Amino acid sequence: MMFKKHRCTKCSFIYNSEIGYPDGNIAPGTLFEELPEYWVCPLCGAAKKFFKEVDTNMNKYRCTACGYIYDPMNGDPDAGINAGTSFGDLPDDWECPLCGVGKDFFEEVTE
Amino acid sequence: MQPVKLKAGIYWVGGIDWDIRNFHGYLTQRGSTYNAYLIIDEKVTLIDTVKHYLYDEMIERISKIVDPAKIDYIVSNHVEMDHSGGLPKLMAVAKNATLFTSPKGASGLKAHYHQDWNFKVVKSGDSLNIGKRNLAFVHTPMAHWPDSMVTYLPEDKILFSNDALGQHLATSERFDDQVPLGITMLEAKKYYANILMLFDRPVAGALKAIGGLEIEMIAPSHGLIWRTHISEIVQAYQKWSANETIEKAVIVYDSMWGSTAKIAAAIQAAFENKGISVKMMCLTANHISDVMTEVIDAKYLCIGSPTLNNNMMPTVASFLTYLKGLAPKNRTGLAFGSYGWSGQSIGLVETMLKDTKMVILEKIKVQYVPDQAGLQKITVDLEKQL
Ligand SMILES: [Fe+2]
Ligand SMILES: [Fe+2]
Ligand SMILES: [Zn+2]
Ligand SMILES: [Zn+2]
Repeated sequence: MMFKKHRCTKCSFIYNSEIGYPDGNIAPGTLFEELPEYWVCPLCGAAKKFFKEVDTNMNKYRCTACGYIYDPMNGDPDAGINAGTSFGDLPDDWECPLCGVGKDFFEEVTE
Repeated sequence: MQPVKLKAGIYWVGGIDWDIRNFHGYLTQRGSTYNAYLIIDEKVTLIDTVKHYLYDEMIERISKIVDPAKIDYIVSNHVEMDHSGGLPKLMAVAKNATLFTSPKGASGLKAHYHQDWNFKVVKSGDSLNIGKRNLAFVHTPMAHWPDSMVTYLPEDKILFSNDALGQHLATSERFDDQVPLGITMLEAKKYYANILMLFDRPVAGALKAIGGLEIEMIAPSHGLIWRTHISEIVQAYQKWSANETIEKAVIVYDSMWGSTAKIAAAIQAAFENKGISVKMMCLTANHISDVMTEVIDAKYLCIGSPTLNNNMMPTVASFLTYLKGLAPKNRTGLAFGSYGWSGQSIGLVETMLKDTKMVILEKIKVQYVPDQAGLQKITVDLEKQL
């Protein structure tokens, strides 16, 4: 079974279903979807709807316009993107650091 | 040397490069122009410059209207040296000028000329007031460089499109209705094929970005200004950037002792029999940049090379390298050739075609010289696949 993680978009707290949240009486293995609707972020109190599933796809992505490869291991520090950020988690207005085209010009490197 | 008026207060002040035939490997058989545009308003504004060796010509045209030292604003739509080459001398003359360019334009110009000019970086969507007029900047990254941008003048409905929609065409005429349209469209097609084909999606994005603008004139950085045939050129760009093809085959090959040429003719027969338009382009008779013009709308691409030194012929390798870079999409490819004993060339050609993600037809390989029956079989077998 794959345990998914969800990140609070308000404060970046991560709910890991493998661990649950024992301090709040959420047993390990409780899926995010199984959390009660009234459940809120233990750190900042944001509602469930403010959580977004963490993209665990750590594959590289290639810019089809210039060939640049985005590697989640490196991130894009010049643009304030931390190492470890998956391609899917890059902000929508992120641009290729070499040539300036948008995210939609990128394709997953599969080989 | 005279300026040419586009509209009241707006002039072409570029340079005509009558003799250029080799534009970084692109055969420019009709020469080219580098178009700079001068706008006389409260702020005297120049849009782009020319190649360095045509600087004096540009200055002579500008000087007929205004003292170049009085230029207040210079817009650099594109870093490439055919449009920025006049900047070093001009910035020394127009000492108070501000240079407007995109972020990649500023870093690119610095990396070219190593000068700390008075840069003002503009974002896409920014507007600059120059008096009675405004200039709106739209970034068009990778159409065709990271720095590429276009400048729109809403009061006069002119789009200064830089390299997009241009043609390498040297003429003393400046407008699209002064030259036979077929020639201009052919040079526009060749320009797209050799400069923009790889950047189909950025071009489509640029077309979308300018789609909502009211345009009476498109003033590119090469060749003629569009004022009568705007819809023709914009529609052509839409088709080309969508990789739309027609039932047409381009057969590109070289031959050592005529056998690969015979196979090429047998392939030609198959397309003819099917009523499909064919273009035979032997690489000793056609420049690779002219081949690309034909490739632009061709559904089928057949590439032939005999085996030479366990490899393909250098002429074919050169073309394939160029083709792979320009990367036309949605095509069907066929590799063919004659060989003596080892026959590597045909597989090597096919691998290159597969690299560009073409649909591949069954390759054709003949040892030494094909006979009549063998050639007929090639025609019949290929017809079945079309
Ligand atoms: Fe260019
Ligand atoms: Fe150019
Ligand atoms: Zn939170
Ligand atoms: Zn890129």
